[in-house]
Amino acid sequence: MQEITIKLKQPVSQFVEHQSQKRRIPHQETIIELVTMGFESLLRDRYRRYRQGEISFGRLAHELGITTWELSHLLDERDWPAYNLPAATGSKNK
Amino acid sequence: MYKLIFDAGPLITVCKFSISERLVVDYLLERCEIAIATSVRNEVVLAGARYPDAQAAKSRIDDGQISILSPPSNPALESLIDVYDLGDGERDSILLGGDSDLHDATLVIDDHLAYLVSDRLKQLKRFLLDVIVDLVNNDELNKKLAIQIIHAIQTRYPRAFVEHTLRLLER
Repeated sequence: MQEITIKLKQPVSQFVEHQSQKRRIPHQETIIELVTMGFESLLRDRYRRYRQGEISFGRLAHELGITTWELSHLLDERDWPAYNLPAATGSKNK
Repeated sequence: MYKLIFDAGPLITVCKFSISERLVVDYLLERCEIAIATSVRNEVVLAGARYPDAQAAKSRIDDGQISILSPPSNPALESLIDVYDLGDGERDSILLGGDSDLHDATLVIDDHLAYLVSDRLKQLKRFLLDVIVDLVNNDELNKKLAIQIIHAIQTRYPRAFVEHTLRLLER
């Protein structure tokens, strides 16, 4: 795990304060959750674009800051197909 | 011998799946010359220590079974490919496919966008699935083993592509 120091701007800092008090957890935990959610949201968006053929596998990996091998494993861990070839949607393929 | 330039996607596939505890890449290396671009190799090196499949690729690169090629300088082709914003490995694999010294080599690419780019450049390219069929048609791979390979790698392709390949092999 990487440790870094960051300065939060409004309204994010206020949100972190509010969530941490409400859930009685450290600020750090709230921020970790937020960053993870942000990454997952970005991953879903870029993956959707990949599956639609808008970007390539290599570009998807590049945008996530990982290698194609890491991307392959990341998709496998989520049980998300690693291909972006179009799937026929005829009844025989359902 | 079938000369193949592998993009990262199919290289990962052949280094990940096995038949009878032997990786698909080794069945291909017995029958084909496999080369990859330097940028594809660099990703193997970066990921090599963490994943068994990348480690498998790295060891076959280190012992010279998979050769490494630097893409030729071709500013006109590069600027055309750059329009599509591909990854480095895909761009360099396509650049290699455009190298006149490699005119008899087939680019193995499974990415939809990169495949279309290479098609527009009139390059010789195949999906990995079709390479397996070609090897059978050239009597370099027996049909039973080919079908086993297709079943082993089938999760990497849409169902229709797998079904089509199996039908080609069962003819």
